[in-house]
Amino acid sequence: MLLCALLSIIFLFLMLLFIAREGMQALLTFGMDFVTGHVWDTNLNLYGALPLIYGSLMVVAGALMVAVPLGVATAIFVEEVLPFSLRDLIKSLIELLASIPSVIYGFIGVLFLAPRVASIFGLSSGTVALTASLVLAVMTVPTIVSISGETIAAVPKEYKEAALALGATKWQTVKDVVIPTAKSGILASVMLGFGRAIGETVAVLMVAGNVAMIPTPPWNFLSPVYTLTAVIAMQMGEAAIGTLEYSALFGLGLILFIITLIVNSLADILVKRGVKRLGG
Amino acid sequence: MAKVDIRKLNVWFKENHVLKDVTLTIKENAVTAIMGPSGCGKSTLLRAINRMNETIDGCRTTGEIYIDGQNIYDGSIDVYELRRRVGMVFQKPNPLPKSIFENVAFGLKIHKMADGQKLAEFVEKSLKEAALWEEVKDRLNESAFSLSGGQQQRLCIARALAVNPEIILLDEPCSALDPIATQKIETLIRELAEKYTVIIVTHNVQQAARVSDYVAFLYLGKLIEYGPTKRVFENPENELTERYLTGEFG
Repeated sequence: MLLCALLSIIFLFLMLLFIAREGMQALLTFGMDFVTGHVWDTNLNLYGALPLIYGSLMVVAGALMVAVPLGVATAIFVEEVLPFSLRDLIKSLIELLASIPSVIYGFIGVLFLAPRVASIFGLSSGTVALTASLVLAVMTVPTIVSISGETIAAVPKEYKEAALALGATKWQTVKDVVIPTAKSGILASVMLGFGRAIGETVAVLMVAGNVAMIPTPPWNFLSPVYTLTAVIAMQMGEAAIGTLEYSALFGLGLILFIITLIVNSLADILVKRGVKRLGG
Repeated sequence: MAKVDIRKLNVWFKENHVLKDVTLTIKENAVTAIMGPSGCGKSTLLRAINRMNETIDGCRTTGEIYIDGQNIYDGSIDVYELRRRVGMVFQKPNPLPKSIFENVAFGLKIHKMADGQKLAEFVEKSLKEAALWEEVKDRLNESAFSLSGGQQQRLCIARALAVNPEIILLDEPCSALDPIATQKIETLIRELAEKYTVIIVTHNVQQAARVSDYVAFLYLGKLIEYGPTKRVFENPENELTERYLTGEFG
């Protein structure tokens, strides 16, 4: 057991080391400009990752704006409203969504969603940030539903009875007792959903449009964007080993790695704090 | 005077017939104890009076319960207002994961009965009524979980009293408590009877003798005997009651 735990820590560390080593050339060449630079252009051999970082965060933020309310509402509905007999069926159907390969989501995005986004908003092409966000939202919902559902189901029956016996309605009980009690788990599910969404590659590169520019205005979801993951996947095959481009792609990997690490640690802290508060 | 009039009450959970034709009239401003061996349906009878049974899947109820002459199983009854009028305290103290103050204020807030200064006054009054104020007045913002078991149970009583009920239902309120905490709650129950109609479920015969004015004995879902506590304990009419009181089963 200890060995396994140690191994996974060593593995994590080695991975970080490996990515950092490969990305070192780009980081040394551009310094902070690698993170804050606005131009990502292979022809000019200029690598500034800001549009890509922004693209990733924008698409994920859009996805969460849809997925969090939908996912949390679904979790509440499944755990608190659905009769017991239907609960497992619906839950497994939602979890089935998570097992669909992301290429399939990409297909649906390209063939079904993108044309509709284009016609609704009068765009020449529907592969824009909005489409990517919607596809990602559907992919993130199962994570949010299952993790927040678990914490909602773990809210003690005694709490709910206390509220109901005081004359609270079902909705008041959910709003004032169930959600506050499950708050940390719900937050953790959002963080994990974030991790799931920001790491998604194939589906996003199929529908995001892949233009390495910060949209104008920055909140314009009808512009195409390029994400960290999509750039790595698209360019890796063409980049010759040892070139600056090759190193820059590893630099992107490092940025992605650090973002997910921060978000996961935050989720971890939130969950622990929640558990302590409930127990004590 | 009669406060609660239970007529031919039957309750099923799925196929399980838990209460059978229970008819019982409960007096105002008195303590009525419902006693009987475990599984005899006494908690179900109690939870029929604030319609908490129906929060459980598969529950079916027939018969009537009149409170002040009004049938609470009538379709026109507002069940949330009913539960405000009929407060309940559970077997295991169940404070909400909130502060001491917020626990007592909870019912006042959901029924929009008070806010601001008024809210604080009501909370203080309820905590005093539940004989808890002196122990918690300097720590109202601490978690309710920082209280001892007995204090938590009195907090739950204060929470029920806050919304100005007429009837208090207590479901084996002392079964999770030590003897000293139990004694405090029993004293409190006697005091509450001056203002409220108190109905307590207990499997503890001595407790029923100590706190109640009237006692009902339930066995296998049927009401076996009901009358003034003194009379039932000294001179039980039914042989089953006598055997239960002497500890032959239970």
